[in-house]
Amino acid sequence: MTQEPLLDLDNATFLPVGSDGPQLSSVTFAISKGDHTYILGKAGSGKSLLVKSIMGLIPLATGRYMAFGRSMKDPDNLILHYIRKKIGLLPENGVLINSLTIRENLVFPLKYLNQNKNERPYERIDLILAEHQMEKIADLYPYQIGVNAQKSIGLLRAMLFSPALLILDDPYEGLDQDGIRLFHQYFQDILQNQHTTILLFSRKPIQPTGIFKRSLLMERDKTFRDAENEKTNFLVFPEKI
Amino acid sequence: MDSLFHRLNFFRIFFYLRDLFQIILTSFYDLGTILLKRRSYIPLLLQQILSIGFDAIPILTIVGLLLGMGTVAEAGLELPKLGIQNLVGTIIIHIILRIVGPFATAMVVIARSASAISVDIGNMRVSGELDTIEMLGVNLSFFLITPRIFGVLISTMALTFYFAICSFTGGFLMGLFGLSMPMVSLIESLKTSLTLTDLLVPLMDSAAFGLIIAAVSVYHGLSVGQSPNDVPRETNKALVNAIVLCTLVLTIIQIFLIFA
Repeated sequence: MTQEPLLDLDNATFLPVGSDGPQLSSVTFAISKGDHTYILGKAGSGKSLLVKSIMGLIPLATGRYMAFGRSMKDPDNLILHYIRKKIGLLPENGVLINSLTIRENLVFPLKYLNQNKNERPYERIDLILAEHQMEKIADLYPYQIGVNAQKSIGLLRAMLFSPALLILDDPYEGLDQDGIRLFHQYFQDILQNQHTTILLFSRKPIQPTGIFKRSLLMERDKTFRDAENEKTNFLVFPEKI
Repeated sequence: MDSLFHRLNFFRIFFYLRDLFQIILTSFYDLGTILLKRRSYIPLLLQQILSIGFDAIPILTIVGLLLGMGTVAEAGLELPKLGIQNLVGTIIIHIILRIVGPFATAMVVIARSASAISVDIGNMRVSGELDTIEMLGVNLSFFLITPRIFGVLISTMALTFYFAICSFTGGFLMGLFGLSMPMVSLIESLKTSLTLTDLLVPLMDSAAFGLIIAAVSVYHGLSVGQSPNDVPRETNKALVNAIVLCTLVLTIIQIFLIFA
């Protein structure tokens, strides 16, 4: 029995509201459960645009885009809410909300998205913070902590609802060696639960061993195609950095 | 070419006003949703009322007291010369309660909160936080816009009456100690002059001002692009447009009242 892909884009073109023309066109790409994917692209190659398009922030103009079996052509709020809850996201910019403390940043999705009224969000977050030895920074604001900690908190927040798909947009940006090591450790933990599939976009060819099953290359002004279907734009990274 | 330019400008104003109305109407609809279905957002609304309303109290107290003292001093000195000292109460009510009070409160709210809202939302746009909030699946209107619109609206209405109380207090103090006016006659004069309209007009004024200030500051905050330079530019536009629109609405309401 073949599994339905988590994301399925076929010749999709995305047109940002108010823009003169499409900034991302002819995207053909699919990702299924367990299909951990690493996409490498230089700055300006359209990685963040693709992430925003996947999340439904940039409307689909032509082609086909299915997310978790739902068509993303003019999706209503219910569909958007459904897929955004299924996808855990670590964005490139604005990882955390600056006006909220670290604890409030983590509580944020639980408070405003969770339908479970019996859950006590602050208690759950305090447990998570204690588990990751981050209790000390709970009451600090994002600007008071380093990039490693900010991105780690962002990743913890992305994993709060045990998403089916975890999208990481340039997670290595600004991280030092410790941060990168920590992230690779998180990836190993995520792999162990076998529920979440990782889709990582990066401008740096840093790839941990034995995590990603396939690697793709994204280039500006070139058609972005799934390497398994088309043998173009495929890049195999060395096993070790 | 010139006339085309003017027509385009006219359409820009029309679209601008249409967008402001759209923000206000959407937030009314979203307020209903928040109150009925999404109660987790209610604390955000209360937080906005506190930060916009309560924090403005010290400056409004000072401005209100001084303005009340100034108005009564002027009225108490000049009106007897014209032989209409019995109109002091009416004049104070008309000036403070119906015109100066709501407008001065609106100016304080613009100076304090319109700029803060515009900068806050603008900075969130530049840093990418707005996109993050949306991509996390949290409704931007519930989380950011509706609480601010109603925070400004409720605060402006409440502050207008607080301002009037401060002005009257200042006026009484000036009348009592500065002009040696008999307190009883001043209170009696106010009591006989005060009508229901005198309470409804500032209510209407302040509601209109609150909605204008909130919608304009949210609109310009959201208009910020990717550049940090957009933040001061849009904030400046928000302040100027809020002042112009509030003045325009005040004039329209006064003209309407004259004819009504």
